Amino acid sequence: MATSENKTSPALVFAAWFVVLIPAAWGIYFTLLNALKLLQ
Amino acid sequence: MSSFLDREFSVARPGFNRWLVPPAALSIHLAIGQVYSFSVFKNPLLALKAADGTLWSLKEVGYIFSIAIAMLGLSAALFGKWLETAGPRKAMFVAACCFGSGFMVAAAGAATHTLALIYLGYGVIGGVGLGMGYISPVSTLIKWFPDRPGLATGLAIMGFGGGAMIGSPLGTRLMVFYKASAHPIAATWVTMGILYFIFMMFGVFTVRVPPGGWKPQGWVPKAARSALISSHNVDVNTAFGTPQFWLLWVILLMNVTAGIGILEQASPMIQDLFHGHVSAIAAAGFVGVLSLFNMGGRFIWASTSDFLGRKPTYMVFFTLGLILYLALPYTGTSHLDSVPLFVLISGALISMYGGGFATIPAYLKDLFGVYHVSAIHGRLLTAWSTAGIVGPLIVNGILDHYVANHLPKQQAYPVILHIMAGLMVVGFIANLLVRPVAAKHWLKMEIDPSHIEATH
Repeated sequence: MATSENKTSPALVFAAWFVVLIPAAWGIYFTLLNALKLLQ
Repeated sequence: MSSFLDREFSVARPGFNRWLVPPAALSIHLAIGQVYSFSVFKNPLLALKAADGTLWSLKEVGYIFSIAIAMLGLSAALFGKWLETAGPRKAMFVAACCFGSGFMVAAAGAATHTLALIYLGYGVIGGVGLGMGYISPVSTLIKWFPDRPGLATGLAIMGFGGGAMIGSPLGTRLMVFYKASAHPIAATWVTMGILYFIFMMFGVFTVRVPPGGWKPQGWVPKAARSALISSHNVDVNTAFGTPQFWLLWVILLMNVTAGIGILEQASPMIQDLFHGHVSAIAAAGFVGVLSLFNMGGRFIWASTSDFLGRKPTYMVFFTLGLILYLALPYTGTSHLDSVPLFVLISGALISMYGGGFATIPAYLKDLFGVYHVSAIHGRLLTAWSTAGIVGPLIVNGILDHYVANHLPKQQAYPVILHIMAGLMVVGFIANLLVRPVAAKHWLKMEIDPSHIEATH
């Protein structure tokens, strides 16, 4: 049975997602900018 | 000699949060997805002069990407079984080493104008990294998320779709940054090799396998809702000889070949079908829109398959795909003349192309169990390599025929797209024929999937 002492901190989970979502968001931002050219 | 990379050192301690595993998988897939943005290096490589002034041809440069994709399928098929015993951490580490060092070797090739070194580095070594990286997190994710395997694998494989979105601006910006240096491409590749290696190592350090007997808190495996969801396991070599494996191989081949038909020609197709109405810049925007549908479809369709079931999900792909491929040519100027409708239909088709990739691991898990799912997935990816050859052959073959006979190119697209619709019919029939795996193929000593991590 997991105890509160050895449970993964939610901050760690957040940080892990942050590490991968930041570059992903950067890439999506550039793709969206590119996609907007379709409206030109 | 044991090491940090061994499976036993990556077993999660009690209390470990399983939501740390998808970011680990994403770090690998977001990195290796860079391969889809390789085209940003095409023109710079074509302009690269040797000491004697010679240049590489488009065909020679094109082989770099082809070798990498061929090696992806080959290495996934060859090393899948090793991966199952070595564990995801070691496999991810090998993938990071191969992918990172592949850039370094290719950089040496760019600096010395030696194409063979680029083939070896980016194509062969990097390609092994692609194959190992692509399949390494799959079975681990399925074991951590037995309640939502489609969502879990969809998350990871979505990363592969998103990798090009990072790789393209990163590569372009680095080449601009190193413009003043003696070897801008080589410097860009060295930097990318280091950055991607570090990013993938985040996954290596973060990934964990569940301990024996682990299951999500409060989760009770439901009685099988469908005969197609097996509680038994099948060895990779046995699975390779079953009709189910080859039916799924055909399903993936048809889905990917048809999708490549659009992706391969996206920019020229929209310009030809709406001649004079869509500029080259707007067409580049259309390619961007398709990338977003490709990535989103991977997550949305794979997650939806947890509720719909895998077989019905592919039925939707092939039925809707058939209708949409037939309808797409009629959106052009000679019929409905609707760019928004063309974009919407193309986007829906590409979302199903991505969805087909992302849903297949969960389909394999349903049929063959979780025991060797990564290894079986690895062998199935040879369908992708085949589609990479067949798709462009169909599209370019028909376009070449029209150009050679001085026929309008616009008239070629209905033919191409209706062939793709025919592929949807083949895929539909293959999916219809999928039945549960016969009991004679089940592993004799039955293994509880939740115990697999601790038992081998």
